[in-house]
Amino acid sequence: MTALAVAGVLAMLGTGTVLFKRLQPRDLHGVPAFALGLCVVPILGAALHSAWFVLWVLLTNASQHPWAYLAFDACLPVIVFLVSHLTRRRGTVARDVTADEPGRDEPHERMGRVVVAVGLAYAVALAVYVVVMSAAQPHGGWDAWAMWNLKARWLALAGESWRDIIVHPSFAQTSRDYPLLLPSTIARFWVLANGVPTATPQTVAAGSVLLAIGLVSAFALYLRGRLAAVAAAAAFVIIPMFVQHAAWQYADVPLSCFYAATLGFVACGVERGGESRWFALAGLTGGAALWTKNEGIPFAAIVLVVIGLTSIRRRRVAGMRGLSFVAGALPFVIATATMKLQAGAPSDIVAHAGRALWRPALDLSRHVEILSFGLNLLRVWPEWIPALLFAGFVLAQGVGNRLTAFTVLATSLTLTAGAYYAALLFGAPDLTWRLDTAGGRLFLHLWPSLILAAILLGPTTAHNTPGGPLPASGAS
Amino acid sequence: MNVPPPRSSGRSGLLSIGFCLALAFWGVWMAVGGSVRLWRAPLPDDPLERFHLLRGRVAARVIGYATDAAPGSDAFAGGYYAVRYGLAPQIVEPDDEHRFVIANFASSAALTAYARQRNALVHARPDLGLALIERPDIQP
Repeated sequence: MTALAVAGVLAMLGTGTVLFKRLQPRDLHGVPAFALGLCVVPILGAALHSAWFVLWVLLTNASQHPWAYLAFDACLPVIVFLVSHLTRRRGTVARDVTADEPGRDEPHERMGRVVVAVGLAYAVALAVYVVVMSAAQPHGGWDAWAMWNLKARWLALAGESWRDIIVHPSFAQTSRDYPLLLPSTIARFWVLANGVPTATPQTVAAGSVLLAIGLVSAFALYLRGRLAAVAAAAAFVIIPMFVQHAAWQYADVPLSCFYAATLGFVACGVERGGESRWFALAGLTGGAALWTKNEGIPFAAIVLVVIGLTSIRRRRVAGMRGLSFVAGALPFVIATATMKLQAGAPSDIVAHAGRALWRPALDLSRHVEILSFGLNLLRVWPEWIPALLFAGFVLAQGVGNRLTAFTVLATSLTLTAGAYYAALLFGAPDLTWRLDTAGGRLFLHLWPSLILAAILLGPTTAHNTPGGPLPASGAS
Repeated sequence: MNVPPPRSSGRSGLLSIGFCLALAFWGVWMAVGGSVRLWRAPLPDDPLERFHLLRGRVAARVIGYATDAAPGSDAFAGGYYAVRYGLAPQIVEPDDEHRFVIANFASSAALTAYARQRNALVHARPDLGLALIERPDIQP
């Protein structure tokens, strides 16, 4: 049955590739396009196939026939291909293939190559570390087996009684209304494998960590050059807890991956002339975020508002960008709404939000508790030496003259942090317990995007300036 | 839109490279060190595996759970969630008012005493503190 699981991987990559090729902006090519595609294709494919799997569950009452499911699964890349072929516009602009080498005009060329070599060594060492770490905990951490993988087992094995996991009162503590991207991604492979091998959630968790790091690095490569790409990837060691999540198999890392992808695409869109394809890609990953965890819902809404704000004086542009984002997010909005309508009572944090709003807001001790938790986290979590090295890198780079992308990221992240703060303030009656068990993970959601924002403070290099590389006389 | 990009000066360029190299070396060191540590460390026993042995033993849709851990404690929640995960897809409720019950006790003696007190039949006992029991006094 491993062959069927491999076929499932190929179908997923096929869907991601077709979609990414269809939406690939015209000025994205060469090494940055390859690097970005390498990370975006699997996450787009995995996200879309997870929603597609839920459709299978609804249509067939969670039939466990692997071959029938594979046939259904293989329809998705075909449908995406047909839709992309039918909606393709003729006469696209020819790509400028002369301007595809990142860092060609960066100073200190030889040293730059050394940095890239060390960066590659880091990538290999990190991949090995993540794989070894995820192998050490086959079932993951508490939340993984008590909630995410438990739901995956029900979706893969329960057949007609699959609905119990989202409606039966005995599962009230497992956040029955949570979206299902992670469980359905795992369950999809378990149906194909005709069993529940722990290798599946382990691979998904390890892949999420590596893809999150790869994505931030690829965006940094495209927008700020190869030095920034290496620094962005290496900056993840500042908070080892993020990488250690590879062993725990929680949904927070995939969520952070979708956050970074969404903000990265929006950053590309606002910095590179605002082609609406960037915003459609951002919509797809923003939609995947809200299909991963409830926290993704305010995030996607905030990004949509920020996209509108970026072109507030040009209503037509704002409209096109917003529509592209919404169109990308639509499949996941439908999937999330469908599951939420089927689910039992909402999780406690949603249920409590909105009750006597003024009371917790006026309770000063709650503000103090949240803020002191955040400050303590900043004191305990970071490794200070790499943090200082990264700060040194950002300072040495200086502040660039294109800060729109940075502003967009900073605004989105600040508003998302504000939404988290409000959710804790109003929606968590057991605040101390909530902070102890999930407070740190809320920060991890934002961590890859924070690294990207810091990188975007820096200046652009010649190769990634809109309009292509400067003539020889323009480079110093 | 051919805006001349800002160029970093020679010194700041070298500084950037220096910081970036140091950071990447730190990353290599951390990753290699972490891998070696994990590789050398003995794998801990997986407490979840023991519950898998009871999987598929019960035909009832809903079964119960009994333990000597205090209700509301981490030990109670941990054991209960682990049973529910190990036996999925099976509805396990956190009380023993069911015909079939998973008994998860700290010792063999405690489990035996519990089964005797409830007049229960032991159907499967994968380890000394864990068993699937049937309570004939409760109708399915």
